Amino acid sequence: MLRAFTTLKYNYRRATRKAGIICFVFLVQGILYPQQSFDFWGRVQSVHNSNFRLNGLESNASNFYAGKDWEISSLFSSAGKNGIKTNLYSISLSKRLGDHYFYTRFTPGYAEEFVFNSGIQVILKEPVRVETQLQKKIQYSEELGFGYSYRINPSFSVGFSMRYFKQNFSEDIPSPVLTDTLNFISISNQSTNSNFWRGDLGFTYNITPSISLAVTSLNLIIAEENPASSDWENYSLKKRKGVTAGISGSFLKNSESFLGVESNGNFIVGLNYTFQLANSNITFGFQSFHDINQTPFFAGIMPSINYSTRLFSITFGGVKYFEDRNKERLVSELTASGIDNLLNSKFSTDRIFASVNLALSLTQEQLVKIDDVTINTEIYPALSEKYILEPIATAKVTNISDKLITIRPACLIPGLNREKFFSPYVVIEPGKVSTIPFYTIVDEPKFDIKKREIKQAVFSIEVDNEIEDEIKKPILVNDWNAWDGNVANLKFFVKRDLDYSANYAKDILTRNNTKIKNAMSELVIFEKVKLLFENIFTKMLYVADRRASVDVVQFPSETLNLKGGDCDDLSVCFSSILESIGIETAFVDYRNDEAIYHVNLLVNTSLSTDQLSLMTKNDKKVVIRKNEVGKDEIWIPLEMTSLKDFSTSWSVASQKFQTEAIEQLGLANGKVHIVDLK
Amino acid sequence: MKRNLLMALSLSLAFLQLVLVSIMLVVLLSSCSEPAPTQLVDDPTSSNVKVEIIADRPGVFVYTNGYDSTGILQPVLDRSTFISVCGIKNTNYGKRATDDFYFTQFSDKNNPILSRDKKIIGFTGVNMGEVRFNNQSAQLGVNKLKFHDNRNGNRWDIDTVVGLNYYFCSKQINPSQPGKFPYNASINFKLDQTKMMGPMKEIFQFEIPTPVEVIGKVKFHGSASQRNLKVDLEWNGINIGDIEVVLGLFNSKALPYPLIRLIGSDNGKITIPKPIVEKLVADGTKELLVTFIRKKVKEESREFFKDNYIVAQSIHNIKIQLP
Repeated sequence: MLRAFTTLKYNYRRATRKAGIICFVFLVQGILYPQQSFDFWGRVQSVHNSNFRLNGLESNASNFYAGKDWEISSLFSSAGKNGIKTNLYSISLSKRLGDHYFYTRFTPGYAEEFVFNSGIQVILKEPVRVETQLQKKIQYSEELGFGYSYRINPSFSVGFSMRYFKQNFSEDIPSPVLTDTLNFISISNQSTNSNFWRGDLGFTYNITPSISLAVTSLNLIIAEENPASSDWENYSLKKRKGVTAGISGSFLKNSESFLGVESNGNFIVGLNYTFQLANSNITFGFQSFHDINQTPFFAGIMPSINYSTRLFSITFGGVKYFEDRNKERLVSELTASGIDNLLNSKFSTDRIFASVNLALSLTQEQLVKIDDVTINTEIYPALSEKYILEPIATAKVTNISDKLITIRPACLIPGLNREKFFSPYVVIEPGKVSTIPFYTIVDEPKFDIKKREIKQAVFSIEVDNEIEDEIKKPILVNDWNAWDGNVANLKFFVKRDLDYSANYAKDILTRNNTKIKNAMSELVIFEKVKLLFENIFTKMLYVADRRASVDVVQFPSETLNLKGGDCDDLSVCFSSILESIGIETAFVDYRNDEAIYHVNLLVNTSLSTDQLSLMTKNDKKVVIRKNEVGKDEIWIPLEMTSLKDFSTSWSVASQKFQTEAIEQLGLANGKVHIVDLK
Repeated sequence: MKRNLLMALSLSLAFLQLVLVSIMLVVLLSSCSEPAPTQLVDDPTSSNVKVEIIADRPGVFVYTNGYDSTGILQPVLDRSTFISVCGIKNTNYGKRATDDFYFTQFSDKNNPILSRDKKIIGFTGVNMGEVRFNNQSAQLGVNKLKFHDNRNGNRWDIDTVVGLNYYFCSKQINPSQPGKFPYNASINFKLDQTKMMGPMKEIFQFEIPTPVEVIGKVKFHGSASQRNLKVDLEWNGINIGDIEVVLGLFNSKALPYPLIRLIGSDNGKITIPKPIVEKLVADGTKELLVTFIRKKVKEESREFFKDNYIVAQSIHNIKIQLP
């Protein structure tokens, strides 16, 4: 504890689990239940803001809410009768050990005192005749309390509490003093005590993550140290047995409603609303209560407001009774109805309260944990856009708390990300395991990944901007040109250099503008394709990929600069050139039984079938495909590794397509695929 | 670096929060004060009992009147005119079941009787004429003043005559016959000075209203040995005015003397305060004379009777044995 006090560093990272932060959290605690379980903290506790322990012995013996490690709490209140008097009402200390929860408190303010005439007046004669009214005095107080609760599972907890009450009855006694020379009445004070312990049991059951039920006994066990004498029996605190049940639910976003009923007919209703402000919560609470011994039907209201952060919580509130509480009360009212609760009875007055809560936690409660992370894919940096839509990894995450938790997954791959990349929020029910996807993106151009290597990716989950758990997993990151062999992913290489390709294409087209202008309007696209092929690829060389464990694809800019490549390099390059100027292309993926593949290109001439003769008389040199609106268009295949001239490239590709895709039913049997870029 | 800045900011904020809350705590703690108790008021139907020691100076005064413990014949009655008419009922006590007693004293307050220590212990009674009660003539009697005189370390009982008074009583031989005292009616008082020497030649006459007869009883609950003895005094309450109950002891000569007076509402019940019962038991008191007194005081404004005390009393003496 001393070391904790001297350490001031606060580490928000859950993963390090440093216990250096020391902060005092005085907790506002207590779910307000009617009458016997009337508390002074207002209806501010909510599943939406519960960083602090908000249950008290008055409300539920199974106090297993948001309690964390060590916690200290205190409450001040002031009453309005006979002027404002402020005093310390309660100090408590609690400790959570796994599923066990221990609680103790000292309650100097839980007291009520009454003074009234004893019914005897003493007439004193000396030195002057005077009539002295003798009085009786009653002091009730609750001195201390203990509680223990055990969480059987995230939905159910049980507990018990013991509270110690003191009653002091005193009265002025007229005692005759009889002597031979002088007789007189001496007034002395006689006092007796009647103390007792009160024990209760209770349980809390979370029906759903947002609805909970709590049931507590009232005065189940009464152990009296010394029963009150018959003279004072009628003035003793009432120990009527009963049961109180309360149900609270979060039916609207950020709000919680509550209804509590006692077996004698008392009840209380309340609701609160929480909104977040930066890293803090502000909760407005309101409740009203009915007491069979108080008037009117709703005896009073209790508004409250709470501001809480992880470090502290402040609550202000008050109790306003609708009846005039400053009027005179009769002794017979005390004996008739008695007092069940020292904090709330017909003799209580309007009051305000303020509580300052600071948490003293050496460890922070973990709400969720990562069970395991599965890496779904190795990283191909060129396919960066893909990893925004398809998770690179999934994790099994368990909500180990007893409330609904919203987590935010994040992933950081050193060398690939400048900062961690957040994935969408996920809500997990208490006790449930959820599969969480992690997405990523490649930050460029800062990173220049030239070699394939294994990186330690850091997968973390955050709750309220605090890291709850973190795990590292190795992930294979390929170099920039790596390709997973999926022809559909060649589009990422195509799109990567569109600007470069556009400039390159436009430059060539500009220089050959006359030819394009002289071409038939229907054949402009065809002419452009032919022009670009002739100007670019007839000057290139076929170069096979280097020996590598993975395929590599050159980006169009690289192919253009290197002036060579293999089939996928050249197809990607020409596709990029054409796509950059608005000419639609598609890849043709040829695979044989030995998994050796070949890729060439299909180019959309935008000609309709009745315009075929403008281009060729051989209909086997074209591929007819329907466009988006269902109209047939003429596509021409191009073999990009045939770099002699455009006609040869077209003929070779047509021949291959006709043979393998059509005659050998390649399209039908899956050995030939046409892969569009969209 | 950005992260370090953030952490520093967070630490600063945390420290500031700690300071703010500490200040608040100090303010709250320093303003602590105990709440005042709640004062409850008496029920309208409840009544107080006044307790008074009658025989407060036994070393000086002789409180017994030789008859009962009513104490009506107080040693010092600082009135010029004192007229008392009493209807008396006795239970387990005395020679007669009922009695009545009529008494008058005219005191010369210019002639006080002083004790050795210069305290007024009485006045000289004077003859003011013929006194009649319901036309029955009261006889003149000597006004004896009894007191203790402590001299040379010894107590002397002094019995001195200090003037005259008037008295009249009717004696009932047969206890079964009701007394003649007219309860809840009136008694005619007449002072005839016509036969007196001197200038006083007047006749004064007026009615003295009498109270409803009081009939009391004493009930015991519990026992002295178990220290839970409770003594209830009950009577036929009329819910008007007050009632007096005098608790009297018996001296060594078996004469009763008044010790404690209880005054309460005339509602039919008084419980002797427990400490008084416990004291009597602790002192070994075996017998007690409980006297119920219902009074009716007459206001008389005539000059002749200024400084007067005219009272009609219904008295019920009950002798009890403490259990």
